[in-house]
Amino acid sequence: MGASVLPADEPVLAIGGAVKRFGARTALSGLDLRLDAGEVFALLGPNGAGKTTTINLILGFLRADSGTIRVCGIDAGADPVGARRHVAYIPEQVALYPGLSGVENLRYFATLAGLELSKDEARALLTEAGLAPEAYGRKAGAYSKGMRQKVGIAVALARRAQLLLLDEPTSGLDPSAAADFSATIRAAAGRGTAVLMATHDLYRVREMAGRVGVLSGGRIVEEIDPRTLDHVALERLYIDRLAERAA
Amino acid sequence: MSAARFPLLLAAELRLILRERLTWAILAALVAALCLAAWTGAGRVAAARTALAAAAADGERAVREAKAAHLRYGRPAAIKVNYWQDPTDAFGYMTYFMAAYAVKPPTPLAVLAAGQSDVQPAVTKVGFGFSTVFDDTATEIGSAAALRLGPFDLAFVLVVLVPLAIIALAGTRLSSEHDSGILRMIAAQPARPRRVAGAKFGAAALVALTATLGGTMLALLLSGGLGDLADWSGAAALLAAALAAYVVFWVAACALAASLWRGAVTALAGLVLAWACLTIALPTALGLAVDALAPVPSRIAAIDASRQAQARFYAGEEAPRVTAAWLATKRPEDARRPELADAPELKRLARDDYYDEALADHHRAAGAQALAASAWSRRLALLSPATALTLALETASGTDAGRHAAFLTDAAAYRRSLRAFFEPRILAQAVDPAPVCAGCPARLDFDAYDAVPAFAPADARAAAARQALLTLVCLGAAAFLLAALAVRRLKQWPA
Repeated sequence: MGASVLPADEPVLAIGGAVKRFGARTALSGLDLRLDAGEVFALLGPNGAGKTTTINLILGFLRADSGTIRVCGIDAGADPVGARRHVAYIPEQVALYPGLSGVENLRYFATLAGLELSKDEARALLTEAGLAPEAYGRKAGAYSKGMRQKVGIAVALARRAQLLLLDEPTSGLDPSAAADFSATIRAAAGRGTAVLMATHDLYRVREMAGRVGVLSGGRIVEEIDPRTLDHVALERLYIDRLAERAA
Repeated sequence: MSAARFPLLLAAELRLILRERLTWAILAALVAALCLAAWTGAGRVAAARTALAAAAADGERAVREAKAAHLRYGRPAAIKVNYWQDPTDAFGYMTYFMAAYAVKPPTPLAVLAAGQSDVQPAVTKVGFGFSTVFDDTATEIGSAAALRLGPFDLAFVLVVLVPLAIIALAGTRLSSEHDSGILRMIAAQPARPRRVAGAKFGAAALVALTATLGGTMLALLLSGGLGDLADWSGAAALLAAALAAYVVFWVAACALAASLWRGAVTALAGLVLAWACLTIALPTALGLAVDALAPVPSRIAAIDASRQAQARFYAGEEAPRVTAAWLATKRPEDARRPELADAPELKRLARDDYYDEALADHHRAAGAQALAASAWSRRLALLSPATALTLALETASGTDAGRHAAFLTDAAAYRRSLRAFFEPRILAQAVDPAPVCAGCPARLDFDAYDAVPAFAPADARAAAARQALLTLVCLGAAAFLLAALAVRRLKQWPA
């Protein structure tokens, strides 16, 4: 599906001067972002900063008023289905059909993406995503948030998507599940998947992301290399930038 | 996702819908309702067939007994048989012995709809022994509200309950996924919303169609009420197609409700409101409109006119005058024979004509109203999918008001044909009363029992096929319109 080879100079995600307004309110005011294969980019920002709007634009659920959003060279506004072929999305709350098992949910979402998975292939993907084997056949209505996220990751793995969008992926996860999740995302990036995550979790940002963008007022006001700062310094910097913007 | 992969998605949606317990609960309730309704209908059809068999047996008995009497009275005897005891007398047989019936046999599909059969009999005796105001006075017209509520027959289940089952089955497809957040997961996949919705509602339509058509067939077979469909296969196929279009119409309505993206509660509320409007409120309003466009003439006025005619006939010298005048038109050469004016059979024939003439306007008005009401019903029924399907089912069952109006017209014509058969014989007998057999106790001048005209029921097949086709076209167009609106709205996922 999403495993087509990109030209060497073609980024997985390229957002140029994206503007999006909802009536009088401006959600994005000239957002620029470039993401290459294997990169993990964290979008930091308070509520209303434009994180979810950015994700909706990439998925083609919204169209930008101006600017461009290209996924693997495809204009997400003009061809949202084409762009989504390269994107896997894991929302903050992964919602599954509660009456179906993890295997059945995975096979259903794979079918939506045009894939036919056997039960064995589905089990292998769930294993790769970190779901315990005893949970495969259990109904998803009994799954924890972490287990549902693993099914979401398995859907992304099945599709071999080149861009993984994560919306508040670690909120509500216990430390062990969050650590598992970080490891899974790093593994995906290691395989060449570009990851864009919108989050407030500075600790996990430093653990997972190679680049961090502070989003405020609808655009990235500062880009940081998190490996150059410890957690406290990263948090201080984030708060300072937001305070400056508010002032 | 490519179009070639659509069957895979449809199969996935079918698995999804069939995994839900609610689906099986709805299907079980629907099939149970269909079986119960078919059993009710089969009981009614059996009762109608019993009545028809009894009428046929009564007719055969009358002929058999008359022939036996003819043989018995064909020998001289010391007794004298009066005309009202004598089946060998043309007038006596016509008036007191003949058992002639106009019949409206159930169609092979009669088990589908009780229709008007509650108040309109399938068989009516056509005779001359008493004067009737109406040809169907054997039944009482019930309350219109009770009639509207109707019996628990297959038509009620198919027209009223099947849409509710479809709403329960498909009314929250997509909208419940919108509420639970699953829709966002679905929308993030590379599949067009129209294709996903097409698979979801296509799967729901397949389940609903299988349950409705299969359940109806099962109920008909289990009830044993289905007649021989050999000549009715075309009409039955058209009716099945119209029923399928009705199911698709409601599934398309569910898709349209989902396309508004207002959540499951709003979608369900809107669909139930549409159901109430289309299956209850609009049919009631259309019924009232038919009553207003073709008002029922007063039966009380007709009964009063009948009584007045009776009073006039027996007042003073009116009866001999009327009889003489009637004889002058029928046999001018014998009009001056005064004894004929007192002949009881001629007096009776003249009186019946006198009554018929006095009531002619009332009969014409009642007949015209029945035909007008039937015509308006057929036109207005197409304004609601529920009334359109009801009419198609009733027409296939032969229990519709239009067939009954035609039946009454045919019964009246049959009565006239019987009168035309007997009248010359009675007149000949009256003007030449010489006995056929001297010393025999009876007249013996009538023995043409097997030549008495029989009633020929009209064939309801063509009307059934025509109405089913019209309904199929209308429901198909309505379903297509709703589906097109839904498809238009489902161009993109909600943000």
